[in-house]
Amino acid sequence: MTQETVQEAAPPPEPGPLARLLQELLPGVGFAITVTLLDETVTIGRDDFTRVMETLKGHERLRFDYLRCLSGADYLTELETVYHFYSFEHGHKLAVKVRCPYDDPHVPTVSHLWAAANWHERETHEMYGIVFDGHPDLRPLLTEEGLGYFPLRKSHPLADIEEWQEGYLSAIDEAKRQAASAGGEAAPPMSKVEIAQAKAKLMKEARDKARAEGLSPEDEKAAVRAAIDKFQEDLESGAVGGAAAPAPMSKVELAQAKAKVITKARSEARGQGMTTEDEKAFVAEAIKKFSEEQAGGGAPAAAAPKKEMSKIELAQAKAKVITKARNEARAKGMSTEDEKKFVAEALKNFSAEQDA
Amino acid sequence: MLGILKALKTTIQAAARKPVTVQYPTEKKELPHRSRGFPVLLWDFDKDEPFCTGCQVCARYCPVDCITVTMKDNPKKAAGKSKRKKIVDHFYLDYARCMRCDICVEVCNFDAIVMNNTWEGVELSRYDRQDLVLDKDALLKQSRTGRLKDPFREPMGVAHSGWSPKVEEDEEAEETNASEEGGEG
Amino acid sequence: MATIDYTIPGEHDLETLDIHVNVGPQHPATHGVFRMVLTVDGEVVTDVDPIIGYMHRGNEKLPENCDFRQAIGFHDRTDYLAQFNTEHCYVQAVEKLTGITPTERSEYIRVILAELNRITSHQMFVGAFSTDVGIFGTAFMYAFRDRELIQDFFEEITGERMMYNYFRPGGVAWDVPDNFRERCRQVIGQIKKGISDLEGLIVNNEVVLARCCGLSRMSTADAINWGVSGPLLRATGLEYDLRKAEPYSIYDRFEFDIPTGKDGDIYDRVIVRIEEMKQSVRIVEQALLRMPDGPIMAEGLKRVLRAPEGEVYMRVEGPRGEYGVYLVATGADKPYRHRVRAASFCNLSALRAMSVGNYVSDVVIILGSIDIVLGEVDR
Repeated sequence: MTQETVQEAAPPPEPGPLARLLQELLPGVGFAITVTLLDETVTIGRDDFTRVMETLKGHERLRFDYLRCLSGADYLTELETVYHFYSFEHGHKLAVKVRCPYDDPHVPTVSHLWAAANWHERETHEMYGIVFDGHPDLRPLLTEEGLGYFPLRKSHPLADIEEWQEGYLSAIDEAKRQAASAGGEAAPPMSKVEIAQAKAKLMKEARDKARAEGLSPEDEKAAVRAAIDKFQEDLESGAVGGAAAPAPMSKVELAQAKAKVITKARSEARGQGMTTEDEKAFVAEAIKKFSEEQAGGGAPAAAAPKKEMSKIELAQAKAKVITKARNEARAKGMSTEDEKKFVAEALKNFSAEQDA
Repeated sequence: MLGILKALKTTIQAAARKPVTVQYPTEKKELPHRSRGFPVLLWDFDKDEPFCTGCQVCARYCPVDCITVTMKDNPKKAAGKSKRKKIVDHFYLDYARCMRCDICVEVCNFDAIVMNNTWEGVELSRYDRQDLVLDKDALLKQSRTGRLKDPFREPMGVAHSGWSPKVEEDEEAEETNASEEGGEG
Repeated sequence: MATIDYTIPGEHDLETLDIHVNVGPQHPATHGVFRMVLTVDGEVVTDVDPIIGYMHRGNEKLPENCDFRQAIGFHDRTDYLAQFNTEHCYVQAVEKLTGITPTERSEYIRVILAELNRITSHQMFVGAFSTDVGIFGTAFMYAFRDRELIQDFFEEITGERMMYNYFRPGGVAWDVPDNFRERCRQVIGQIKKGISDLEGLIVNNEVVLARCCGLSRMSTADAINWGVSGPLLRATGLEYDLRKAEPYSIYDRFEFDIPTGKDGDIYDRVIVRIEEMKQSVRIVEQALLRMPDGPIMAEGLKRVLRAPEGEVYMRVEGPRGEYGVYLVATGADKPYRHRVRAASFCNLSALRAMSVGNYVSDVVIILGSIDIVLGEVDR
């Protein structure tokens, strides 16, 4: 441990013994050497990645059999994956880094070489959006499925998080809905529940069909899997969700609107000092009126969400301002207090603009 | 069979020992001096006002942002009864958020906030989380009524735990804060 | 790894259906909010899908927005059964980055507390595990009686029973009480008795022998491939302990052994942990003898702690295995990237490999033997 700390004193990065060994064993691969504490660190390009990793695991002079840690990191223009290795045979310690651009976050998987990488890669995928090509199962691990954002990226704010998430997600939904109504042919995306229901139906059908044909359990599984895969493909290309007619309001929205009507009617009735029976009748009438309106074209329903939108848009714009200011402050290396002040000022400017 | 007998031997040996538990609600274990309950504010009986000057150091260093403080001019300074120029105006502490990390106590320049080391204090079981946001009076109540006899303060001072030098006078404290942060920020 | 010959469903006389059994998230056998979906064929488990994340609190993101010192409290809340070990790791990582050298006395205090914390963690394991196995109550109460002693001792020093927040970059927050040595010796004396009690209850217990011997054998190569560390890895026979392999802090000054198992089965994992408690007692005894007087905090520390550009992956041997903190600093007063390598996260990822082919009732023991702490798994 002390040896490595001594090494880091030299200003130009000298390749350590391990880096020299790697250069000898893998000629033609560019190793950028970073001086870090405790472990020797090399950065490699994405093109050489699989070759280097296979050599690290397989070569008898390296034999890195233990993947102790795999982390992602966000460097604003690039995403980075860091692998920390240990070799039980030689006692080597090595850290390998690989970078990928923001708009093409793909890194080959190492989960076939080190089983330990399986969960680490799943976690890094959900937190940073890095796609590990060839990973058997890249489901999210810690967060729920279909989150839509990458929490550990620096662009994801920590404060006002609920507001940000709400604004972000509703903006996505709204954009999709608008695209649907503008294009005419594309229907609103299926909700999660609808997808799951459609999937379950499909699986049942496929299974029944397979059973009717008398397939073995393995073949049956394969048949079901194939059906699911096909469904997934269709879903992505938009073939499944497209059939349904664009509904003016989702069920949930309808229920919410109805609840509003009921509350309003009830408070009105109470305000007029009606008896319980009269109140009930009044509310029932209001509901009836509401349903008629819905059937007749849903005019009030269309108006209601629009007003809400502006609020959400505002919150979203606000979140953007916060994120931007914070990132700027971080880039300048400000202290926590200064950063807070900076962000507060940016917010102030923003609200002043809004008022004007 | 032998194994079970051996295990039984251990059980029988333990049966003769004294119980290690106490009947909690009626009997309470003695708390060590350093015990860390939730933070409370201290009352300065000499000047008949809180120690806290509302300098917001604790609010800034709180990792979970559970403290909100504001400051005002001390009316007693004008009357010549106190040396404190500024005094706390509002102090809100959210017990539902607090993680009892002791950082507010360590950074406080005026020894105004301590961790409660008694069984007494604020009732924590509430129907609404909002009720756990305590104001200045609720936080001062325990110290003011004399139910916080001997609060623990680190004997070596805050400088020892690496946070800041301790300064007695509030003016000096403000100056040092400003210069240190300005110099490094 | 399978200990039972598993016949595929096609060869049964009767047609069988795969059934999914959902265990958790609220289940006493899962030691926290952990869910696993078992696919069973009769009594035999054919697939395990562990589902985690119920306790995800962004413990990697939060410290990236905190001062270096503020983040210590969040480390208590990752592995909440070995708080001093996690703090030790993080504090050392910050010290490496900033170049602070902790004082001699504080190093000893840290080692003593970390080793005592390892004992409490293993006591917790023995108690909870024996409940899993079927020794209801007895061993659990014994283990907790002694764990309570150490926790009282910790409370006298730090004021807290669980989330100590006591170590600081450069030393410890405040000095230990004057009667530290005597109290520690007293506690250690009782702990020794307690360990032999636990040994008497567990080691040759027929229930334990019958249920644990030969169950879920793991080879060293498999364990290494899955990234398994700590007692699980040592139970496979590999003598690997970070305190010896890469001595951090002052561990190179103490004499202790690394207990190992032979088969890598559940029984070995239990025995290794019980032996480890004894080794920890040995370390504490040596440290108590040599603990010097002097300052407990390095001098010349600034109010705002800034780390120069650099990065470090610091690892310590926690009770569950390798606990690592990967810090990237960019010259600011907070880490740019903060990653926690949780031991039970990696160990748990091997659950599927360990349990496929075993009976449903045994999967509960296998899960118990990993000794998961969900705060650490989900972070």
